[in-house]
Amino acid sequence: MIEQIIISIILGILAGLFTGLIPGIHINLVATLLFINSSQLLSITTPITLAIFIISMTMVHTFTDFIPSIFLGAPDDETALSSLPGHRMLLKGLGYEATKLTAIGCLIGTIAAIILSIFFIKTAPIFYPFLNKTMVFILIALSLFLILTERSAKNKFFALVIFILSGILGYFTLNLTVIKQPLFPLFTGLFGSSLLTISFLQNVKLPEQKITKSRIEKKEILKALILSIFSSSLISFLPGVGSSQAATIASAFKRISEKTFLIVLGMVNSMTMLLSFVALYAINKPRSGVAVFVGKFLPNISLEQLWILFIVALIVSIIAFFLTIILAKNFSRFISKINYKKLCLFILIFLAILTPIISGWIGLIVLATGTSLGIFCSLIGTKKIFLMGSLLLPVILWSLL
Amino acid sequence: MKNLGLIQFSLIISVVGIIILIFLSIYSEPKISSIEEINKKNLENYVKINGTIINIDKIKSGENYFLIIRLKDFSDSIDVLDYENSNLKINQKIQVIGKISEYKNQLQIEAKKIKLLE
Repeated sequence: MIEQIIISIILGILAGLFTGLIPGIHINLVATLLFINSSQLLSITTPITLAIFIISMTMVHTFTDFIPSIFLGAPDDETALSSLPGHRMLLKGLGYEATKLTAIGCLIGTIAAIILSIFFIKTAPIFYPFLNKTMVFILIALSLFLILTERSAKNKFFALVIFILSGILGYFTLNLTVIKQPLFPLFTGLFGSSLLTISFLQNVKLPEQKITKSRIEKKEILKALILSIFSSSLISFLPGVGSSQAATIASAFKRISEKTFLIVLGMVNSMTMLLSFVALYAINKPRSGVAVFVGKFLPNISLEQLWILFIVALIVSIIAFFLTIILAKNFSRFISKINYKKLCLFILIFLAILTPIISGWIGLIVLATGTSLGIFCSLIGTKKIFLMGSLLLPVILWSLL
Repeated sequence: MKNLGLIQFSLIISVVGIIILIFLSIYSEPKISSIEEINKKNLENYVKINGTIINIDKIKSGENYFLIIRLKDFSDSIDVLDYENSNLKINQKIQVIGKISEYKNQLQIEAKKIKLLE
């Protein structure tokens, strides 16, 4: 049994590195493949071992996913202001520090989520029925809040346009009956290939990357932690809302620096992921793709099994932290030496080949549309989080209709 | 604005793409499969099947009801979940388009569209 657990942790770490470092490949895809072959796998192992594989992969993915999202798809100086804080730091030669900040956030977030879970296991069954009844109104209020907290009237207008366009795109893509894994081309287009295309079209020249030590005051970490606990607790029990929205909600309440934002982003990423397993146990509602699969392997997940998963998550998070730091250092050395334009083109071709294999030919239409909308969003200077209308608007419409 | 051409181009492609996807979502359907062709590899994908209703159970879920329709074709039979509570009867021939899911190790179809065949 112990050997099986260790093997599944190692394989999970390797799978998490694969999904985290290759743009467009998501943990849900690996979890789906695992589930499809579960009959054969369960003849040689146990459901908890498969769940341990999933949680190990998830935690490593949560940490390493920030490496390609910071180092790839950076815009040129002209659009840099509307871009993500990680890209802005990369353009200043601080890609390593940006990744390290998210890794620090992820690690603290993991510990905080495990402590918080004690509270949520007891309270979620009490507050969830109320939350469930008011969910659609909370999602509408949340969407309006994000749009209305944009600074100027022009920004508010474009945020609304992007939210609605991506919402229509998401609604009809998820309604298609002739596509497999619709979220793959949708999210790859909106958040991945759009940024890579911009990098390819614009002449992005990355400066020499510096390996700097990040100096963050304890006060900043505490501020980030309080904001993350607040926003992650709010969104972990809601469908259609991701960690980017949680980080934006957090930053909307209190002005925070670029560096603190990156810590918050890391924290909410690991917290929302782990709290989705708490939601599976406490209210039987998995709030992430991977929690759905853990729920399939462990249909009546016990408190003991949940704690085993959390202990594994903590151990793997510590390993993932050091792996991320090592990988980010190597990425920093390598990224300014290679032809960035060619690298972006290579990944774009890879994603275009992968899409029909995973989703079928219609997936290419979704990919092209998502990519165009993502490019439009970046070039008009609107924050990428409004592209999450692609998931939020369908959830709102399905609840109302 | 330096990228004005690219902004306009990306907006046009986005809108055209969305219109194509709206049409595809309304008019395209999966090919007809037999029930025996449905397996775990198709999980979460949509299928279209024709068959005869051999049983209907009305299930209460919270404050709502849904139907579990047992559908049989020449090859096998499968449960179809109908959340719309269609007015169906045993021995009727129907066509179902729905998503394959799994409940307690059994594959089932969550109906999106149900059409009477006769």
